[in-house]
Amino acid sequence: MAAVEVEKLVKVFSKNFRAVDSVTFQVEEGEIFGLIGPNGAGKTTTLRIISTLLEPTEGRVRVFGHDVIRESGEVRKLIGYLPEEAGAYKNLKGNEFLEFIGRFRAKTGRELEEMLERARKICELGDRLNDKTKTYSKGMLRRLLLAATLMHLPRLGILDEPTSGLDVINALRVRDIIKELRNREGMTILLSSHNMLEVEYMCDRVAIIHKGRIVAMGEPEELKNAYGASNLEEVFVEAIRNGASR
Amino acid sequence: MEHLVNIVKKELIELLRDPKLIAGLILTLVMFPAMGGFFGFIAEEQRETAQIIVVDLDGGDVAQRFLAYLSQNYTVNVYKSEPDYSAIKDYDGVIIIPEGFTKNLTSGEKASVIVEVPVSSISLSAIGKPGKVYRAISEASKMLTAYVWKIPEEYVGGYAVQPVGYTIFKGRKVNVSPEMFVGFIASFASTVPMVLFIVVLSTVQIAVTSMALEKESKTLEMLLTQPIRRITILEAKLLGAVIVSVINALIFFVGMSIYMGQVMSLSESTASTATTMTGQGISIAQLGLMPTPLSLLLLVVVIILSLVSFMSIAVVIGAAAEDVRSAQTLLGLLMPVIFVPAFGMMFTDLPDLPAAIQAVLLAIPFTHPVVATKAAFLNDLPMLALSVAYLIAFSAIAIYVATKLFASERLLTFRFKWGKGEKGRKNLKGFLKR
Repeated sequence: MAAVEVEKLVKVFSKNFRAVDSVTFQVEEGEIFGLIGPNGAGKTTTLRIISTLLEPTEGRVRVFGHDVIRESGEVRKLIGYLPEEAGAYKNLKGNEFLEFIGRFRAKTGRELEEMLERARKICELGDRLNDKTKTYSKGMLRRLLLAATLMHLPRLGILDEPTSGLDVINALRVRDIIKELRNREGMTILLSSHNMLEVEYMCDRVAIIHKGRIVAMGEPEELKNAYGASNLEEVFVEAIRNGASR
Repeated sequence: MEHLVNIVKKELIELLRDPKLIAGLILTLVMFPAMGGFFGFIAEEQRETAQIIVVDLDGGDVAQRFLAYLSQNYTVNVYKSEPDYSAIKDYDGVIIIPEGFTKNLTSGEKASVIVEVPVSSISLSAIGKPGKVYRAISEASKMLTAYVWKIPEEYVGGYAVQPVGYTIFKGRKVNVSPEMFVGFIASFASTVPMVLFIVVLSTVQIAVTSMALEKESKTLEMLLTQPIRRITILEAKLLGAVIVSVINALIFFVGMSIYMGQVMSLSESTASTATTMTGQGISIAQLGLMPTPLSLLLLVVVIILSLVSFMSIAVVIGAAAEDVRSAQTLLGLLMPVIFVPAFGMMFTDLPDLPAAIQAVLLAIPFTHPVVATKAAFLNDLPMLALSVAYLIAFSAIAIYVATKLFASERLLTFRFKWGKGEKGRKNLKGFLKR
């Protein structure tokens, strides 16, 4: 069974703005799938629909066979969603924030403890978890949020620009965490990014999205060969140019 | 100096573009002329000729002279005995000249007259009521003092005629002087709405900020993708604000009880003095001006329900705004709805207003705690029941709207951000349309 099935997805906001325009793709279980595209391409809207935050105007979206509209409750149990500009409650300590989120998922005290232990390993914040989140740097906050998103080992991790705004060291650390969770736990990851290097390094398959439409999709190597490009950045530019001229 | 001017200029632009500051300035501009107008109206009312009922139980020549003076200078209706209290609402007061009035004065002693002032309003409009009849007595007394003590009027220091005052409230005689009574009414009428205004505003601020903060600190999306029903989030937000509002309502209740305790001990001491002097009459508490446990309970229910209504609206506002500042701005638009009934009810009573205005005011949830506080003191159970029924209906609708908002994606797509000029106006127009 595919982890995510998106069929002819359309999202129209007010004033007839089509943020997503007939998008179709599948994410297989256990793969890291990247949605790449310029700002305003429709990546975040697509991820928000898959995460049950927004409703599609047309089309169908299923997560492990569950419809995101009719079975939104089931879908939420299976996913962990990290928004691009997520924040934490400023007056909660790091530990308290993790516990707050963990309590929505854990059924027993022991399960909660396991989750928190895993979260501590993911974020590597050590004693700083005893400090209020308002004292965290951007990199620390992102690691805390990533830990809160993935500590319950969701079957599908949906990460919107997971390394956005991070320095090189923090970005590398986050990428390693994501890869490790996929390799060790078999987690499926659907992420968006406009960092081509990151996508090439992490993703098994990518879809290039432009003005709400997918203009190219496949494995990074496959796409490079198809477009005669030496890296994904060139593929991206070429695919968008082709997409724009269509 | 140049830099200082530059920064000051920037400060002024920023401050003057803040809608809250502008709203405050407009409020000040409106509030003071309104208060001036009101007190001007009271002064004007004082200048009008007093309408007095005089009951002469003495019949002596000095009493006749006193009565003749009053009749020459005021609109006087002479009664043979004490009038029916329920029929004297339109008069400024009743002056009873007791038996022995002439005898006392002609034998060189002082004499008293009984003054009864009808008060029907629990608002600041009651303040001027005793003044007119007391001034009439004072002038007549001056004339009479000069006559019986045989001195020119300009040398009259102390008066030979002393008024003993009672209040006629709800058609019954209260053993409290009218000045004391309207003093109590005035402090009650101005304190209660003010305290309620602060209680409501602070609670609503909490609810608005709690929701807007989720958006501003970007925690809402993560929260909404947890395996919980959205209605649970709304319930939690409302419950949190309700707990705060219950604490607020209880503090209001305790504060008011202490305040009433202080006022009552004052009234009772006056009442006992008056009783000693006349040997008749009853105190404020006996009149039923103290709330019963049932009316107090209904009052607390009204306050909680009105807070719940406002909080549901506040949660929607918080959800509609993109950040705390925008939420505060939207809340600012709601301010007149809280402010007008609170301060309007200070100056008048609901039944004294035209029916259309009464209907508009009663449609506003915040009118109810103010009106209900007065109703609780009058033990007006039908009014309290009406408030409870209306607020239950209003809260149900407000919660339903909030629930619908929480269940849809509008919680995320609903955006109001205060911008400058045309952009701000468009945002506001767009928001109001939705």
